[in-house]
Amino acid sequence: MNREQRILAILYEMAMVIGGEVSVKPLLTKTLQRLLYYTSFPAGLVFLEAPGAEGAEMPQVRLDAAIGDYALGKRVGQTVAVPAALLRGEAELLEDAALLAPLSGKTRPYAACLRLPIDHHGVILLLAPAAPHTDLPLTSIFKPVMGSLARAILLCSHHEAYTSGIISERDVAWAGLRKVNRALRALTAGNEALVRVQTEEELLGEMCRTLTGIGGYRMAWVCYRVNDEAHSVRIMAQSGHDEGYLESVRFSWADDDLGQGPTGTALRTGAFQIVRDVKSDPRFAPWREGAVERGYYSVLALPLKDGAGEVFGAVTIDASEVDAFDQEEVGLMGDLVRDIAYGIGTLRDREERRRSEEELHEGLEDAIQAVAATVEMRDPYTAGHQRRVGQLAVAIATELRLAPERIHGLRLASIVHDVGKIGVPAEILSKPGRLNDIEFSMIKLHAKIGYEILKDVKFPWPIAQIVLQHHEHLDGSGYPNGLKGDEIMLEARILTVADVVEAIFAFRPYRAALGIDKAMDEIRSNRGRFYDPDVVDACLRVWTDRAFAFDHPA
Amino acid sequence: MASSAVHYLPQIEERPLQELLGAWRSAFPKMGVLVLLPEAEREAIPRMQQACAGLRVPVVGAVFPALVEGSAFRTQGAWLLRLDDMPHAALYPELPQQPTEIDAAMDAVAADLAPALEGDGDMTLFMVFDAMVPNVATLLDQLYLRLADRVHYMGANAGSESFQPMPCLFDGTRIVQRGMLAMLLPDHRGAVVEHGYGAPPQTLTATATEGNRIRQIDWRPAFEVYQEMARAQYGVEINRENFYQYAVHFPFGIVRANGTILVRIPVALDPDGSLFCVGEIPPNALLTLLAAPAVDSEQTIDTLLRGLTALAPPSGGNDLLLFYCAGRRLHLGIEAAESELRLFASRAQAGPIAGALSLGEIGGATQWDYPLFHNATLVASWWGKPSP
Repeated sequence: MNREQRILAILYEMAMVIGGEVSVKPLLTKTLQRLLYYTSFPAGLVFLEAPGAEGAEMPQVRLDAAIGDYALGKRVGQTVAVPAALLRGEAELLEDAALLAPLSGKTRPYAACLRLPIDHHGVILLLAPAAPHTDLPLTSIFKPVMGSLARAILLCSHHEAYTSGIISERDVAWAGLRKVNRALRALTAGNEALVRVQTEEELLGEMCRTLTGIGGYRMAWVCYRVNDEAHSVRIMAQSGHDEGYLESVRFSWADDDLGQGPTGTALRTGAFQIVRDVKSDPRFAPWREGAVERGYYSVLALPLKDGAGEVFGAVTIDASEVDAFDQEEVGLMGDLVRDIAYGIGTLRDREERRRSEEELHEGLEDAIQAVAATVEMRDPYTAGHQRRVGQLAVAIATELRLAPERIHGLRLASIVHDVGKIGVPAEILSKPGRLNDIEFSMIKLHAKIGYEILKDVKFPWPIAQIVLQHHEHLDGSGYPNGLKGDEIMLEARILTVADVVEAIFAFRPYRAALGIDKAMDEIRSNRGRFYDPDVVDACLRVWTDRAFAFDHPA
Repeated sequence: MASSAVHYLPQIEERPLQELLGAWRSAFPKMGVLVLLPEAEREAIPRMQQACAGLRVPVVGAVFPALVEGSAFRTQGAWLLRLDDMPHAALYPELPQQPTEIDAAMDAVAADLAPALEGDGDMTLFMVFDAMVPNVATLLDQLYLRLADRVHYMGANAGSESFQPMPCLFDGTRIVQRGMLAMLLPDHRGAVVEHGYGAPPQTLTATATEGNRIRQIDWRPAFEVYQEMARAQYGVEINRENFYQYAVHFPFGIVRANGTILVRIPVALDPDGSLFCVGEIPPNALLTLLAAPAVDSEQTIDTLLRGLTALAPPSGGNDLLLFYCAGRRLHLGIEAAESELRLFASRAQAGPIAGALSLGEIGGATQWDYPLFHNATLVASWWGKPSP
């Protein structure tokens, strides 16, 4: 094999190696490896920014690749002092230990260097303790390889710049997407909490847990503005890595030193506040040490505003990364906080309404009690009867599993069901013995009179209707309207049974008590005729199975 | 035996083995031992492990096609090479072939070695690979990228001369395959490699290569070219069974700029007509086919001895470690190969020569040379501490 063939074989293989790379670092590594492989030099260095013809004798140049020299390999990417005489000039084999001394390590002094300039892209230095033997002109055979390498470095650099541009754009997009996704998940979970929670405290706690648990933030907390002289704040809820932070820090919403942090400023100005880097933002200086200790590196504070736009609190989010909050994330967090503020408003309205209703109910009940008391004053027997009927009616309704609100209405109706007897002469009401037709027709008026008394009061329950129907019978034989079956309200059907049981069971001014057996006989024998069978059965169970007993003496 | 750190046991019997190890251990309480076994004695590995475990002597070893004992090849017995103070030694089985996995594996090897590399003084990374590892050259390049001039490099491939897979590397408890045994020899200056194969008058070009596989020679299926060459040179018909016996006479050469040739001996044949070598061929390499290359034994031995002298001038009685390529022995024939051993032994004027028939060799032509994976060479090194 002649020299030309040998050179051709080397050049061909190196050209293929160089042509196969698309990134600068592997290109330089593989080129150096092949040069060492073919020449037997044990070490090689690449400097891509070799100094020009003029300048210092020992310039500092960046080392871009190194193979075979561990100490120099550690300095890749850094600048090293290299004799200019090694870096400048054409391809040359230099056998000068003194010149190479700055590059020599402890164990292996270099005495030979093959300099291979890479056209206008720096220089390769191959180093050896002694020049390896060769019969080939090393200084000239690699010239075409160096030309190819120069072009390849240029192409790889362009490719890397292009690729890193794409990667950088992609990474930025991904990072943004991750943040938005995190914020969106927190927003969704926060809105779910809005539907689920019952109280303001629950809502605030749930939101903080959502921000740390689902949003992945290091800590989240809510405080309310206290309108006192000190412009102090009250911590309402917190979740995440607090580790005593909120207890230890002092801040306010006043326009003084303690009010210049993100939360204080948000409370005072009503605008969201971002501390992008806790370590460097001068506004955060008073709280920096404690925050960094706990891993808070950026902060977002968002004001909570009521329906009138007044700030009443703030949500503060501490993140474990610097610059964690970009525009989109702040936007989504702002949406969440607005939703929470709306939720707080709704909960407060609901609570207000509940209190009003409670007060109204209390008022109405007071009115009923007043009516009942009026009856009691005039007719103590009827008053006691009404209370006992109410007790039994509630027991039957409970047995029938009526809703508590309906049972409550039934109880109120029961305690005033005979209010209409106000319009019946007292002597008829307490007349012993049988009543004549006129007297009985006057008695029968009490249902209608009761209705007339109660019908204009806006109770949330159909009190007047129950009172009106409490003497109707399933078969239409009752009064005042002769209603049948389902035309009679369930509450009225219950009240009818309770009324007749109590009337038979208890003492009356005009007769002695007849006892429970008689009462049960009455409802049993007229079950399905006068009285609702389900109500009768429930009443029987209440007496027998539940051992019902009247609280008020008959 | 007292002054030598190497010992050949003609038969692997318990008593002499125990006596030898016991005596060594008395003199060198921190000693370990490197065991070289011929393929025919591979069943003795558990006995070796047991004997060493009994005396609490750390052991590593490898199985080669045959042993070199002085100027002869042996298929029986065992070489025991004492390491006075057992250095770092580790087995890495099942080495990877994918680039990303190779990076991780070599990072791990470098990290394992790092603590033992602290401090001054020459050290040699002595490696024994299973010959079934197809990418030894790549692994060596990767190790050189990581360790550079912190160590000298030497080594050999173990395994079966039939190139059948065989667990051939072991330590005190394991026998593994497709891996590497790595040892850091302290106060050691490396090895010298030489083959003396002449540059061929006739050149052919391998036109399609991939790893350690050659698909085409001169744009023709590689095996076709091989068959023609064997027919013309030896009048024999090459087939799958006799392939290795004849392929050793037609190795490939990778030409280097310093005039030397890196030999690659094909050792196996693929059904598609591709040839497999021990060691990779650089992608796109223009190879020469070394048809029946002339071997200059005198030059080979002289180069080795010059190199050994440069590594450490021997004082009488220093032990030598020698690996002799199995393919080279096949090419030259046993007589010529033993004649080379005799020449080496007589000119070396050294102590015992311990070694093995290898299936690939690692080293440089001189100290600090760029380390390469070779075929067809002799690798020689001093064993034990060099003379001052």
